[in-house]
Amino acid sequence: MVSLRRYVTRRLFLAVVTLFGVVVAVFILTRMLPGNPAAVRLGPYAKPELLAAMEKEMGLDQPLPVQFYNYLAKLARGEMGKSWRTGQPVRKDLTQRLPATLELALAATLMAVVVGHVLGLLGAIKQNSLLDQIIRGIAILGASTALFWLALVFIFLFYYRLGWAPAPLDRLDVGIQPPTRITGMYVVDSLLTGNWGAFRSSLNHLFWPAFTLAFVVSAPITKIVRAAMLDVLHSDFIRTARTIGVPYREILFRDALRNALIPILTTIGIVFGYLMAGSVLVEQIFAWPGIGSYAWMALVNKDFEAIQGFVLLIAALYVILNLAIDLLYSVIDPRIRLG
Amino acid sequence: MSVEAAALQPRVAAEEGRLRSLWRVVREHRMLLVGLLILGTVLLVTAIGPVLVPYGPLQTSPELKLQPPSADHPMGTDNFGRDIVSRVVHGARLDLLIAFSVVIIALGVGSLVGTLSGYYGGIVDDVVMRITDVLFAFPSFILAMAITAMLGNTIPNVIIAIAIAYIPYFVRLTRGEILSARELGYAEAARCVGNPDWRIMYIHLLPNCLTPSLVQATLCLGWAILDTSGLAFLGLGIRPPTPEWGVLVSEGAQNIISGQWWTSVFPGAVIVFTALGFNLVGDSLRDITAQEER
Amino acid sequence: MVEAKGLLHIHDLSVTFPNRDKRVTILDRVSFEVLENEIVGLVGESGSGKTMTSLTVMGFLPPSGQVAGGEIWFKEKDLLRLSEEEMQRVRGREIAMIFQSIRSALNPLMRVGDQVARVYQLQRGLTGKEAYREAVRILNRMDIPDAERRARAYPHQLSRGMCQRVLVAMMVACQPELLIADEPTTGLDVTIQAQIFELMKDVQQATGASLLLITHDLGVVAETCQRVVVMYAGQVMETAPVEPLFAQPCHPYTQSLLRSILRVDKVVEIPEADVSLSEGVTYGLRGCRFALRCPVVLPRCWEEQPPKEEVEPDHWVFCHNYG
Repeated sequence: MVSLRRYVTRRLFLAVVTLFGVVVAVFILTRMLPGNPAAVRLGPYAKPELLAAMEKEMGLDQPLPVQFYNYLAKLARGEMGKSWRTGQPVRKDLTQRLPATLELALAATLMAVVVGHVLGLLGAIKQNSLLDQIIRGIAILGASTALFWLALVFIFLFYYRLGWAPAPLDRLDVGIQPPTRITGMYVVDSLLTGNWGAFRSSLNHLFWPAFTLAFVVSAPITKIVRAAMLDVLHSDFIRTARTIGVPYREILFRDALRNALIPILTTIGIVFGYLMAGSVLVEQIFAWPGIGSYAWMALVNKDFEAIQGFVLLIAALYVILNLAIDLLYSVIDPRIRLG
Repeated sequence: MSVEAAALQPRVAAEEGRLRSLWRVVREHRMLLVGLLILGTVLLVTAIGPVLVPYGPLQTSPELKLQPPSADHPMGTDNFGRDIVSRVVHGARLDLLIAFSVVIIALGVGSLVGTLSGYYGGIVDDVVMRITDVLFAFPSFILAMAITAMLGNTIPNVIIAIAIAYIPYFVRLTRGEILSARELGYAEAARCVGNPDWRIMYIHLLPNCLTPSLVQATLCLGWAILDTSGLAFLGLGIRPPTPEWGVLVSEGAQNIISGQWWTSVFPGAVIVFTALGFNLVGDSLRDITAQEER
Repeated sequence: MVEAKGLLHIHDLSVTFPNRDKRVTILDRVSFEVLENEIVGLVGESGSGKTMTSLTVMGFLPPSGQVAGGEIWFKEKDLLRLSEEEMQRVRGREIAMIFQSIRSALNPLMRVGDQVARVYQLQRGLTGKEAYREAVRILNRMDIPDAERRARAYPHQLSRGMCQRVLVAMMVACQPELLIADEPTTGLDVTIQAQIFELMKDVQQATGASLLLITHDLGVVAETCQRVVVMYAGQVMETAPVEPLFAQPCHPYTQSLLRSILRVDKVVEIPEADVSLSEGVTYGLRGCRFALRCPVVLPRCWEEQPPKEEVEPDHWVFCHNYG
C-alpha cells in the first residue's frame, strides 16, 4: 500500500508541476515572443497613438513580471481575459462551446475505438495474413490522410453527390430548435427529453464530422492495439497458458486482452491529442460551433486572449486526462499497486 | 583436392555483399519498396516538374476559370484560371523544403539536448524532462498553430513553430538511448582514456544512438507535410497566392459545395500521397530496426 | 511406418529455419525415445537443438520454422499430424513442459494461486473453490512455505526460486504422462537448483510419469537421469543408460566432452565451443556434423549419414567408426 500512495503522490505532483509549466509556457507564448501583439492586431499601418492605446488595453505596457503576476492572479480567479472579437469573457465563450466539441469528440472516439480494436485484434490474431496486410495498409493510409482534405472529400461525396449528409452547417437543420440544455450535447439532451425531432436532426449532423474524425483517429488506435496484442500473444506466459492446455479463445480474452489493456489505455491519451487538433480543422469546415472553430476564429482575428484561453484549456485537459490514465494503470497493474 | 575440401566447397555460403543484402532487405519489405517509389516520384516531380510544366503557378486566365480536368489542364483550373498541376508542382518545393527544415532542426536540437540530459542525469535531466512534459501537454498541431499565430505568418516562423512541437520527441528518444549507451563498455573505455565529456557524448555515444531518432525523423517528415498544409489551410503560415498544398486545398474549399471538386481534391490527394510515402518508409524502417535488435 | 516404442518416440525429425535467402536444417534426422516411467537427460552445448526438439514436440515451433521430415510418436499418435485443436488437448493433459524463462512465464496480472488453480479447472473439471484448494495443496507439496499466503501473491512479489516452484506445480498438477523440463534451473542458486531437481525426481517417482530433462549440466545428469541422449549441432550423437555413458563413452564427441570435464578443479559443465566460427559449414554438412572437430574423422563422415550402431544393450552410437 505504501508504494501505491507513493505512486499516486508522485503522479499528482508531476501533474501539478506540468500544469504550472503549461501556464508559464502559454504566458511565454503570448507575451514574450518577438513581435508586438498589438502591432500584429492592428496591422502595420497603425498610428502610434492607436498602438499605444491598444498596448495599454492589452496590458503590454507593464513590465513583464507585473504582467505575469496579473496573469496568474486572473487565472487563479478562473478568468481568462476578454475576447476581443466577441466581447465576452473567454471563459464564458469556452464553456458555452465546449459541449459541442465534447459531443463530437466522444462520438468520434466511440467509433474509432470500436473500429480500431476490431481491426487491431483481427490483425494480431491473423498476423501476416492477407487480412492483416490490408488492415495495416488501412492504418497507414489513415495516418497519412490530411483531415481537412478528407472532410472536404466526404462533403463532396456524401452531401453534394449522394445527398446522404445534411448541409455542413451547424448542429441542427434550419428551423429546428435545440433541445433543453442539460449537458449541452444535443444528441444526449434530446434523448433525455424525448425530443425526437431534435434527436434525429442532431444525430444526422453529428455523424458526418464525427465520422471524418474517426476515420483518421482509428488509424493510430488500430496500430497500437495490434502491436500490443502481438506483443502479449508472443510473451512467455501465454505460452505457459497454452502448455497447460488453455483453449485459444480463453487465452485471447482472459490473458492477452487484459495485459494488452495497459498500452491500449495509453492510446486514449494520444487520441485525445489528435482529436483536439482535428477539431479545429473539422469544426471550421462543418461550421460546428465548438471550441475548435472558436480557436480558428480567434486565430484569424488575432484574438490573443481567446487563443490563450483555448490553448490553456486543451493543455489542462490533456494533463488531467493523462493523470487519470496513470491512476487507472495502478488499478489494473498489480506491479504498480503492490510494488 | 582432398575429400574434406571437396565436401566443404559447394556448401559454404558466400558472405553476402553489402549491396546485395541491402537489396534483399528492400525486396523483403514491400512496404519499404512502395514507400521509396512514392517518395522517389515526389522528389522527381519536385525537381523537374517546375521546368516541364507549361503554365506558371501564378499565371491567371480569367476566361479559363474553374475548368474541369482536361488534356490541357490535367488537374483543371482554379478560381483565377490558374493551372492546378503547375501550382501543385511548384507547391511541392515549398512543402518539402519546410518539412525537411523542420525535421533537421528538430532532430538536431532534440538529439543535442537529449544527449545532455541522458548523459548528465541529475538536475539537468529533471529540468529537461519537465520541459518536455510541458511541451507534450500540447497536441503538436495546436502548439504549432499557437506559435505561428503569435510569431506571424512567414515561412521561417512556420518552420520554427512545427520544429518546436517535434523537438520533445527527439529529446526523449535520444535520452533513452544515451541512458543505456553510457553504461556500455566503450563509453567506459572512452572515459578511462581521459576524453572530455563533450567528446564522449557527441562523438562516441550519439552517433550510435541515432537509429530510433532517424526512424522517427522519417515519420516526422510525413507529419510535417500534414501539419504545414493544415496550418496553411487555416490561414496560418503560408497564405495565398503562394502555391502550397494546404493553401490550394483551402482556396478550393468553397468550390466543393458547388461541385467543382478538382480544385481541392487533387492538391489534397498529393498531400496524402506524399505523407503515405514517408509513413511507409518510416514504419518499415521501424520494423526492420526492431527485428535487427532481436 | 515405424514401430512405436515407448511413450515418446522421435523418429528422423528434421526442422529447417530460414537464414537470409536459404533454409538451414537446424534439426537433422533426430531420433530417440523416452520410455514409460523413466528420466531421460537430453544434453548438449547451447545451440545443439535440445530446446528446438522439445518445442517441436509441444507444437511450439516458431512460425518461420518448418518440419522437413520425420515423425513424433506419442503413444499411438504422430504429433506432427495433429491439428492445433487436437494438439491443445494433448498439451497439459498428456505432455507438459517447464520452460527456461521463469518469471516471464507467469501472468503478471494474475495471482499465483489462481494460475495454478486454473489447471485444476481445465484438466480435472473442478469448480473455482475446489480448484483453488487443490492449488494451495500442491504448492505446499512443492515445499513452498506458507503456501496459503503465497498463493495470493503476484509473480513479481515472489523470488525466482519460488516462481519456478509455482511453474513446476502447474505442470505437475496437469498430471501429464510426459514432463519436459528445459533447463529448469537457469539463473537459480546452486542450493535451490539441487532442491528443484530433488523435487522433480520425487514427483516422477510418485506419479510414474516420464521426465525429459534438458540440460547442459552433466553433474545433474549423472545424479538424476536414468538414460542420456547426447546432441550436437542438431544431430543425435549417442544415447545410453547413464552409467555406461559415463564409464564408456563411445562417440568421439561424448569422449571429448567427458575428457574435458573430468577434473576436480573445474565446474562440471559442457564448455562453449567454437561452433560459431564454422557454423555455416557445420550446418551444411550432409554427413556427421561433428566432422570438423572430430579427432578420428573418416572421409566418409563428411558425406554419409552415420549409421546407428548398438555397441552394448541399449547403448547406441551414431558414428562411422562403429559401422
